[in-house]
Amino acid sequence: MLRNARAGLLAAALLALAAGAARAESPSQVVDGLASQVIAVLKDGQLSSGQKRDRIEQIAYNAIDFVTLSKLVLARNWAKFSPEQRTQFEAEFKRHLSMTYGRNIDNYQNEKVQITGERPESRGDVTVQSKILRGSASENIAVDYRLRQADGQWKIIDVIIEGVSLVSNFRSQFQDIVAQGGPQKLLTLLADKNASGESLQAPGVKD
Amino acid sequence: MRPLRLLLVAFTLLTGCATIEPPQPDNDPYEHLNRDIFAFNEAIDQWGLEPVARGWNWLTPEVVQRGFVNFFNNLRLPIVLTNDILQGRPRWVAETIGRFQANTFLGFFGFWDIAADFGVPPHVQDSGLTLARAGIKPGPFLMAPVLGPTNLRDLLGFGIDTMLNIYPFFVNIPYVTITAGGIDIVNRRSRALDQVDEARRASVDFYSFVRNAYVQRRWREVVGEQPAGGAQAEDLYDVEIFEDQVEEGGDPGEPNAP
Repeated sequence: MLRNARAGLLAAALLALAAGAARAESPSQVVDGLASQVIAVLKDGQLSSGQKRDRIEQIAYNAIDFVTLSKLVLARNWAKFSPEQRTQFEAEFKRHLSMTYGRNIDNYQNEKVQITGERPESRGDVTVQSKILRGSASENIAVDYRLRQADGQWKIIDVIIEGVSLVSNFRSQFQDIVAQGGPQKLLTLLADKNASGESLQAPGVKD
Repeated sequence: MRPLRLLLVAFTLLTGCATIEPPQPDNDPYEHLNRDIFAFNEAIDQWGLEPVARGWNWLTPEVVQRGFVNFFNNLRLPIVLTNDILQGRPRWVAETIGRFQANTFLGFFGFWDIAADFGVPPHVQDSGLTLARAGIKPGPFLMAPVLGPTNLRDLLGFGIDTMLNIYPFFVNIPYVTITAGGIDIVNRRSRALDQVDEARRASVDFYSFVRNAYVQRRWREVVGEQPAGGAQAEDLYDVEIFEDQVEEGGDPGEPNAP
């Protein structure tokens, strides 16, 4: 009995180790995996738009480090947010992103993603360069992902579309708002925006 | 060709000190005026341009729209070629001439970008880029009426581009050039309907969104493929700076603090 239990424990430990090793993907593998998972969902004809959105949300939430992203986006204003406000910001910002980009789900037109390179950055970050292929060379979109390692896993901390960094862009939008009305104003604005977007998204209502 | 000679002089004077500084999205001393102009531009778009572009988008198939983009890009030859030469890029000069010939004579007067299909895609080129690569700083951000986001340097570049654009002199019939310009603008807007919709939704402050996106994107065009470290100011990805400030309570490195 004891021997069996020990063998079982050993097996479990080995399994965990193997799983851990398999998890330690390179930044390019992380982005590639993310892209193929998302495309698989988009192509799945059996899923409704809502189901697709939920699944892609899950995939994105796993791949993105939202805590770091929130800090980077709020920058020096991060200090002005209380712990509760930080959590609230994280949640609203998450929802904002998922709602704005989630609406594109039905616009999928067989685009493909190609990883074109990987480049080390300062602070141990890595940028993975990719292209969204849309049929003709001049219409392709360059998308870079910046990743940072946390607990042995590479997570996305910024997305740079055709040279435009999401972190930098949201940072400059939020700066003025917090400067004028403090953290609460930004939280209210985001919540309102999310609430109005929700109603826009009611079934049957289109743009 | 007086503007050309002027540019050449300016260029030789300035290439000696060519350092391109990272972008500063907050260099916006005329923000109040810019925001008013932005609201005006938005009104023009929402009540005029966008509805027309939607109609155009409904009427014309994808191929036709792409064809018009190619056609008008092909007509930019004098602008692209002049700046390729001024920037001393023989490879671009060769590409530009080759592309013009192939697209004009084999690509149905430029409607088909055959050169791109054969591996010679267009490169972004205008006089603002020549000024930038000669080391001229962007100066303050400006929201130009109708034209949209720009800066002092790129507005000057746009003026030079307009002078270099010689085809209206060949086709000296206002009716034709104005119609052509109208088609170009409506067609381009119709290609960006979804992106603009998304940008309006995605932003909490659309003016800031546009300003920041313009500055970042323009910087990328100036430096071309991003060098290591990216186009961003170094502290963009530094989490520690903000966390330390909790203790310090100060805002170091923030010139715009009220």
